[in-house]
Amino acid sequence: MSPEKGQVYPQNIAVTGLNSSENLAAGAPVIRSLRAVPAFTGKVVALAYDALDAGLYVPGLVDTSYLLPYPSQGLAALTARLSHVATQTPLDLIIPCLDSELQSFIRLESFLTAQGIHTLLPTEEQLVARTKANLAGLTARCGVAVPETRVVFTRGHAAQGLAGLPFPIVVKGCFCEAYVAYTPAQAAGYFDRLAMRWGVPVIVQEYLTGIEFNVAALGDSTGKMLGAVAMRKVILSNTGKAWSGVTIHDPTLLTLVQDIFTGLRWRGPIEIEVLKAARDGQWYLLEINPRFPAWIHLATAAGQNLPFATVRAALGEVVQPFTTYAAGLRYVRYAQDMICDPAEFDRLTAIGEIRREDHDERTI
Amino acid sequence: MDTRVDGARWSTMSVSAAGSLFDPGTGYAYTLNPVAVAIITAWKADESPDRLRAALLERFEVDTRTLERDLMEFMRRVKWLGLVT
Repeated sequence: MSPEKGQVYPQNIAVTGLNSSENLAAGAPVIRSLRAVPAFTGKVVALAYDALDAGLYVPGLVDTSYLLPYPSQGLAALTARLSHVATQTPLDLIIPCLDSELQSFIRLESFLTAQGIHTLLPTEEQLVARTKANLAGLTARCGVAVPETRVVFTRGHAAQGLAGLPFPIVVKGCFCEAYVAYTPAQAAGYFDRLAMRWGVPVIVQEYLTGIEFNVAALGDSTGKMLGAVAMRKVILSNTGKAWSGVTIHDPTLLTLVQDIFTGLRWRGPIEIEVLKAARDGQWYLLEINPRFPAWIHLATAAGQNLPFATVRAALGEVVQPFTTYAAGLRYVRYAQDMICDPAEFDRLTAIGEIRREDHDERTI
Repeated sequence: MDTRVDGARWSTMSVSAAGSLFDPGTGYAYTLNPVAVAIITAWKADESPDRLRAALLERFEVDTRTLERDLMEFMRRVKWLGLVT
């Protein structure tokens, strides 16, 4: 729900996930949602991993930008860098938007709290419970159906597919990316590609046909669901990412999402991917992503500003759950070439930061 | 031919002023002609098949035989689309 009349939010909020390839991260849409709230008067601090993350160059989007070490460089490097950022730009809150960094931020929660930096993150146990490799375990925990799934560590096992089930199968990377394999040879080839890119294990899953839906949702610090907006992908990119979508409202789907919250007691942002199978009309849980999706601004436009609700819940406010949203609202993604100011690019690559104090003069 | 449908399900669907039908359960939208708008509006109001036929005969220039044929075709199409079970 909206903040109380007259209340302002002068906090400085750091957001990650500013990269904008075909696989768009949620950072920029999350910031757009924060900027849509007049009561938010603080600064937006971009925490990026690459000087060419496009969100850094969108006029009016961020006030200050810092480069972070990649998660593979370890917690000590991230801790040192965040300590430096906090001395330069006081931070009140961080909203991580990338799967691969979540574990690091969860492990740093005590450090961040000690620095006065708020977060709203799942526990490490919750994070692990929703991984693709552990998805089947959610059937017992949350009462949701999951496609037949097998975790594999070798290309030979990937080529074997699923016992008792014919090809095609779906071969999935442990963080993202998925391919439909029609033959054992294809499955082995996709295993190589995904293992090289994302590491092992690789997940082999039953191929189900039907209608896919995605749900963006948020849980408060006690695991209570604060809001959920469902969307059907309308246009897909070559890698299956949504390029256009429409909000939908199905009470049975929202009940399933509530069951997942009840089972996991999830804290923080989440995206739940489900499929209504053509063969039996049943809902199947395909994936749970532990952060907001790139289409999160659609949820804001539909009436549930979940990124801003994250801010309020992380700051310790008691946030009343959203109860409605507009069904039938569509979005279509737009790609644009951002011109990078040479001086800003130089500062990012040389010293890893840009500080702007003039965002009011910019336009979003 | 039976043209009764599940009124509860249709009550959740919306028909826009421009004549498109939106199913909030699936996110699919359908373009309707004026006859389809009239039929679906009657379904949403849970009107009886007799009242629907009478309303269509009054509003559109159509004889009873053609109306039955067109209604049959319409029912076949909405069933194929999964809008009616």
